[in-house]
Amino acid sequence: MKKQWNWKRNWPLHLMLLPAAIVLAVFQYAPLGGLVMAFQDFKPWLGIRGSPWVGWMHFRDLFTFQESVQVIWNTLIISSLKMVFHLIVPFVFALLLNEVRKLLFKRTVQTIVYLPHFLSWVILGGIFIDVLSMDGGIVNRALEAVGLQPIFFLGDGDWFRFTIVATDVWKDFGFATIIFLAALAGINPSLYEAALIDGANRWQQTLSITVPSLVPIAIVVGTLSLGSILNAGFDQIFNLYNPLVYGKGDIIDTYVYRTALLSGSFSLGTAVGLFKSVISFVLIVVAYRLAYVFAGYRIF
Amino acid sequence: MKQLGKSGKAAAQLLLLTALTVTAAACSGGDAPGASKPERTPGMTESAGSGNSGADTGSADAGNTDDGEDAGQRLLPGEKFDPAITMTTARWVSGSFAFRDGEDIANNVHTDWMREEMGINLDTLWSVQEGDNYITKLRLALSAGEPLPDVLVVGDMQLASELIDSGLVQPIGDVFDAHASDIVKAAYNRDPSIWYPVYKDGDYYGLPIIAAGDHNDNVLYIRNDWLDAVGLDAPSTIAEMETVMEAFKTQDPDGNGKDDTYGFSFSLGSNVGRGDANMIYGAFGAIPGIWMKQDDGSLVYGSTLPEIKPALAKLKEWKEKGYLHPESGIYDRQKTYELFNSGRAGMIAGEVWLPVYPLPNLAQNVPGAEYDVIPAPTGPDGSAARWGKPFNAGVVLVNKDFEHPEALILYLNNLFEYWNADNPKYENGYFQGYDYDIIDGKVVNGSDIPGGQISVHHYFLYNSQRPIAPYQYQDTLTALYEGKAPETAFERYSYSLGEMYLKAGAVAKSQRDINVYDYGIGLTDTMKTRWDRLQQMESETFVKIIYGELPLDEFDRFVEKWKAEGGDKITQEMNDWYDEVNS
Amino acid sequence: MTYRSTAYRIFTYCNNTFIVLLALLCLLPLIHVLAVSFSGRAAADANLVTFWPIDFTLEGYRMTLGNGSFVGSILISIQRVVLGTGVSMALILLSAYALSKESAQFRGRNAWAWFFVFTMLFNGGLVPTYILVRNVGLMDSIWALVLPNAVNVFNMILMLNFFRTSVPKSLEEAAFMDGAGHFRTLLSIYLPISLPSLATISLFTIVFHWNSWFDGLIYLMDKERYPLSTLLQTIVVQLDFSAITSAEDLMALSNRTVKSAQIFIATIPIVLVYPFLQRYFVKGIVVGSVKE
Repeated sequence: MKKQWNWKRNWPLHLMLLPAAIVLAVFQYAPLGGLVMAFQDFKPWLGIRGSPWVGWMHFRDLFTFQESVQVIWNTLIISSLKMVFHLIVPFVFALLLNEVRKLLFKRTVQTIVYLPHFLSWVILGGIFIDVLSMDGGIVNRALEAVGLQPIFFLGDGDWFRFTIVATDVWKDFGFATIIFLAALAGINPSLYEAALIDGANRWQQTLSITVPSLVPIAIVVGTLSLGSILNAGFDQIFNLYNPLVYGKGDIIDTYVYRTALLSGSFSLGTAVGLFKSVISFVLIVVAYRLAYVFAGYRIF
Repeated sequence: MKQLGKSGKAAAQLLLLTALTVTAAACSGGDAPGASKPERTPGMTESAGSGNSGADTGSADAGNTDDGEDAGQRLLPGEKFDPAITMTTARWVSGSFAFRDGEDIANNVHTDWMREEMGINLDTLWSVQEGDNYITKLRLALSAGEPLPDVLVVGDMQLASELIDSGLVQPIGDVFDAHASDIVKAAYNRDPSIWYPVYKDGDYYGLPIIAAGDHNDNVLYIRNDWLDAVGLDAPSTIAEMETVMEAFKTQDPDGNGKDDTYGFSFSLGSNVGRGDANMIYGAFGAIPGIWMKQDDGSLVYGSTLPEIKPALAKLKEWKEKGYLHPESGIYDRQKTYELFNSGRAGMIAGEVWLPVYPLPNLAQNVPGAEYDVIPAPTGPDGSAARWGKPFNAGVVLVNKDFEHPEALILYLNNLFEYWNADNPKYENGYFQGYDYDIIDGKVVNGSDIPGGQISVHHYFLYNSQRPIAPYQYQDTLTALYEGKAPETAFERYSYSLGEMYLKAGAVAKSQRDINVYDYGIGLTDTMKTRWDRLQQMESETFVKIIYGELPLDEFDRFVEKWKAEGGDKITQEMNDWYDEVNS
Repeated sequence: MTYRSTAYRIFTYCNNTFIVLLALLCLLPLIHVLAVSFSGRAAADANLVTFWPIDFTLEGYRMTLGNGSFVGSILISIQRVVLGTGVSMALILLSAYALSKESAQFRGRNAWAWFFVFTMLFNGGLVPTYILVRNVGLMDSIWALVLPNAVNVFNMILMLNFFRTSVPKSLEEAAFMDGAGHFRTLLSIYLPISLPSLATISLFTIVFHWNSWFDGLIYLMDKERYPLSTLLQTIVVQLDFSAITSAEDLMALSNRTVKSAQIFIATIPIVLVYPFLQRYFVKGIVVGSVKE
């Protein structure tokens, strides 16, 4: 019964999109011209128009630095792990929290788990160094209490990655939990009633109603976060890393930060940003197509 | 040339000053100019016009020019621009700045002073938080085509050299020569190398800001109540230090029955050599992280010298034995203070000013705790060394289109007038009601000032530092420690900070000859692309060796790699630069 | 009833315990910061405080709240949040609604969608954006903080998905039959049904505007105009020890007590707003007007 709408019905839609489009055109599209900086040796006093052209130099440098491969690899690993757990943990937690009957308890917990989001990594860095300390830190003391060896969380490459992912998930799982809870709130309760009448227990209800209702949103959140797969969390790593873990913990952004620091290069930063954008773009297009082809679902 | 007006008052002041100074004794400046220096170091040449107190330069009083049109006008304190001129600038603000009600960085007692005293209207175009944000904002402003302010304080030498290269700033060598007061010149002559970073093509493109480097020289602080508890004397050699640390670690000096004490609180962080362990490295003969001058006059990067190896071995040994906290490698200075101040470490190396803050907290946290200050220990060959902290804290740049660069020098002269023992204007401090006050006829400082003390030097266009001559801190503190009665405002203030502080200054001064200075203040071309990675390689290698993750011989491989990946080239460039600047 | 079964009860018990532990884990760092904010200087700076204040003092709060700029910046932050969220939500709602229509019916819909998504991925960067904001004349104005990020495409996509999944097609068709235009449909049908998503997106937007500090730093000319988050940046900054040459500077900078008080005060408004919005995360909006 779906027929093509005509212009008469559609023109308000175009109108609705106009204001946002104008804002985007001005503040997002117009500055895109500045991407040429990635191909220049940009000097602030010469401006964009006056800075000399260097072509692909920055990109070449980026890839020929000895550490480049390692750094990109680190970024991908850390980012992917974060993406996965940033989906799983809130998903499961939202489901669990949904089972809580007492509304006050539920709401309180909801508020509390969002709180770590508000502490900056400058502060959390200091806190975690203490908590994970080998000498008196709570976590290691607990490990010793059960007979395990203390772990140098922030000084051992592999453990460092684990710590980065774990602490980041701890800090921000509240964010996606809220999204999932909102989605759960939108599920039609009559579906549950019907299932109950059919004799399904809670677990079966969860599997057949709750989870499938959340999957679309999860796909959306997951796909959109693909857009930042090369980000991996500069703030966090900057506040927690040290020379012992450069090898496995250095990500593109921290590496560029230190390298560009001396040359004060906006150009290099722009080149890296452009590189990251292109990769993200490709990934999102691919994910969009996959979602459509395999799940029949349009993400946007 | 701007016509300097004269009100009758100004002329009278000038005459009075001249009269006073001609008959006055020595000025409060430092040593006579000596040592080798670039031919054109500003301030070294004889200046026309009278000096305000001039024993050292010995200039004949060529007669005071209180007439406006003369190009040789000195612009000494007391003179001003009339009509007033405007000088624009951009400021950075730190969280540590305090203001009285109704004042902020753009309008305060300091800007009033500039207007009234010198006829300069300081117009603050914008202000932002210090550090990276200030640098970013500056770069953004330039990118957007905004003009550089007339006068700009830049603490980051990388940015400064960028701006100098850009051709947007004017040289001030001549202006300085012509107008700087004798006190200023004496201060700037004490260490001529502070002019090196702004040298370019035969001239000087900015006013260096003198930092209180000597205030930051390291000494060793030690818990002498712990020494008593284990029955040992204060160590003076590395070997003795080890004995002490062993005792501190194993003999439970704080008597709490727990094995929780460390010998030495120390941070490796991300800046290996420049950290607080520089005296440990120094005991073995080299200071990492700086460009040392060798006997033949050439510069070499300290971290690549063979003497570093035994120092690394020693630190590694100490880490294994548990004298150092297991997380020293990821500690920053703040954490080292915490360890010491919570009573868990027996020693800490640090600046002269540690007894002012944070060490007083020790006694509060650990009742009965006492500490003492001792000199840096000597190494196996009997010699000691420490990093001589730099006297350069940035630079003031002048826009090439600014018509009154001499205004900056006038300002500088007024800032340094504080040190003029013959001028009673600043004998108690800079501004009454801010850094000092007079209650019932008595001069008060610190918390006795109504509303609290305001560190007015934060407002100065001098990278918010106290204007001071090199070595002034150590000299003053030592004199006071040895019994001199405080006379000047500075002496009174220093004296009020406690005996430990004075002692630290004296101990630091006693070892002044072991200071090893960093001569590599410039930034060479190859450094711009390679330096950071070389630094990273260094940090990683050193820390991993100390932690035992890499064998000691890795150091030799590091040196080879360092040289091959740009280190040699940079060394060459650095030496070329140094020769040029020093010629 | 299945809810009373033993298995379920055990599950509930374990679940609740687990949730409480997790919540505690999230709460502890904040409690730590709170404790430090009430602790004496010496103990705080030496990091001796865990979860209970040592040398109780109100100094930190006194200094913070007594600081004129601090209180002023809270007002500016509130102003920014209200303006920013208002503008953002309006733009997002309109766009999400339009884009939630099928491309079969709404010609050009996909083109619009990619137009929006593209901006999420490609960005001109700091310098060009700064120059643009300057050229548009928004320097030193609160609009420089509100407009550039007004259209958060991520949030818009979330909203659009909520629209698609929560509003039955039949309802919309019914409204159309009754003669309702798009604007009417959006306001009377979509809005009430999507309250949970509205609350969610609003929350994210509010948090974004409350926490965002960098733009305030580069677009505003002086400290008096800073929103709270920017002001805090000038205080809670990572100490660069190479730049410190005197005890006074270090002393003023590393005052943990004051810093903790400031952090805590900055977090409170959000903590208060959140439960308020939570009311709208209500489960089961009645959608009984149409037969499924």
